[in-house]
Amino acid sequence: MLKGIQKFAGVAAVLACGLSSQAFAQTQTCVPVLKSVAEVEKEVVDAKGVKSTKLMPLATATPGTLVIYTTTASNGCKQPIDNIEISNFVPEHMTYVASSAMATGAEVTYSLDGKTFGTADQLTVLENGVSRKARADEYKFFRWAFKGSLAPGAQAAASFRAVLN
Amino acid sequence: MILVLKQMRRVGLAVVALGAIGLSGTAFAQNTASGTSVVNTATVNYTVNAIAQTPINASATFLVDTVINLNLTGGTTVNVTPGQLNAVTVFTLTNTSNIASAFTLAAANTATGDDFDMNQPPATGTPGYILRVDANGNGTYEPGTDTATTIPTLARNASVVVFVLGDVPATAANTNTSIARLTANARDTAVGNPAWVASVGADVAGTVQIVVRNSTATVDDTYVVSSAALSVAKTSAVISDPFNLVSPNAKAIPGAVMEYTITVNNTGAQPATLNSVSDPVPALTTYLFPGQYTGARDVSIQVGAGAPTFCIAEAGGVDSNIDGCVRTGSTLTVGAPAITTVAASSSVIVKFRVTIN
Repeated sequence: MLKGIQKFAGVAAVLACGLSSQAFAQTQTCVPVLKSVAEVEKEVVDAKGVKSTKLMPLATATPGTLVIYTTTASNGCKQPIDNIEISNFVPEHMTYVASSAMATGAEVTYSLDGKTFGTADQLTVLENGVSRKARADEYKFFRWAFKGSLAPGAQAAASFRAVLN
Repeated sequence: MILVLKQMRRVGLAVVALGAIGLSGTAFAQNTASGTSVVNTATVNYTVNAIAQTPINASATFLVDTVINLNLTGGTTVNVTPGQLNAVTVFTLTNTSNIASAFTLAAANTATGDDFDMNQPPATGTPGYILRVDANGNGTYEPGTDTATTIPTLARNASVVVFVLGDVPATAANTNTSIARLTANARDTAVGNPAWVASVGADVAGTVQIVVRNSTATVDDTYVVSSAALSVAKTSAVISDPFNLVSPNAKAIPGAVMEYTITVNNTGAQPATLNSVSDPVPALTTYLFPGQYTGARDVSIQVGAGAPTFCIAEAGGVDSNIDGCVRTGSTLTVGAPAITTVAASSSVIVKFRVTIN
């Protein structure tokens, strides 16, 4: 009986966590920290005259600028978080750069309308009544589904590149 | 979760719609308006202990800088005639900046690369041009309507036609060229239209920087003189003499019949009006009248490749039969209707005969 109550209490506690309001959830330690940045590649020359490419934060940009968007989810919890899926989209006025959507340990799927997601081979466009394969510059949405769980202290990162029209 | 997806779909639709518009104007694909805020929002969905948690969003936003650029097209060739006034040539200016810009314009002759300089209207006779901006967008110069000489503001991606006008000097010869060089300068739309000034220093968040990619463009149009170019040649041949009688054995001896041939040749690109051809009958000869041509006519006229026609040049200066041929004293004159014009790349040939005294 006692065991049963404990069991019940345990389930109740978990349910409470699952049904909790956002405010309540944020008081928990199990909220990953999500960070999204827009950056540009800049060539820097160090004291020894060695050139290297560095990502620099972007505040303003001219049309034609190649922007690298990187989203990072950090697990600050004491327990692993699972089924992590990072979603992002190509902002208005920008065009996706082919094959630039990437993440370690995740499968990426694309979408033209934000509803139908698929791999590059699965996406089609109906043009003048004829179905054709979607071009990369038509991709507007991304989803990165990470395999396995994210251990405490670990990070999941996904990025893509787009050019300002 | 559901709310987030809805927002994303809404954004998605907007993106798709704008994308379609963007495709139709591919020439200006990279020209997002200055000051546009480009917003990106990432979302993460996750579970803890197999229970879905509230998704989290994070945004990254940047501002679009001002880029100043322009495109000027010309390169056209305009055919003109010597002495022509207000000869118009056309240029097209496009504001390829991502913001509205003012433009100043200047048209000038070039020092080299052509044969002559056009003169500044209205009939000043001094080298130069005037320019006018197309006011109503119809691409045709209308003196009363198109009066502006600068462009106070031209919207992003908008185009306007600029007319350059010049007078062709009367001395300009056929095939001669004159280059009209138009220079356009992009200027700030602020009062007084100062030059665009590029921002210096570091990228500042929330402040639109100005990048002057190109603020000046220069393009040439060419005027080509397309006129008549006349030359006159006169030759003579002996037709017959009293002894050997006929060509080629005839000699130019007293009593011989000589034929004079006057050729008016137009090597130009335009027809020329030919008022008349006059020739004094050479001294020591006597004009052969009535003549030896068909119908006892004394003047043969061949216009172009047509068959010769013949007329009668009455003595006494009165063309009583109105055929265009008359003799005044010893001068033969051939005019309308026998000859009126010399077509381009063609000739008019007048022949008459005399006897040697």
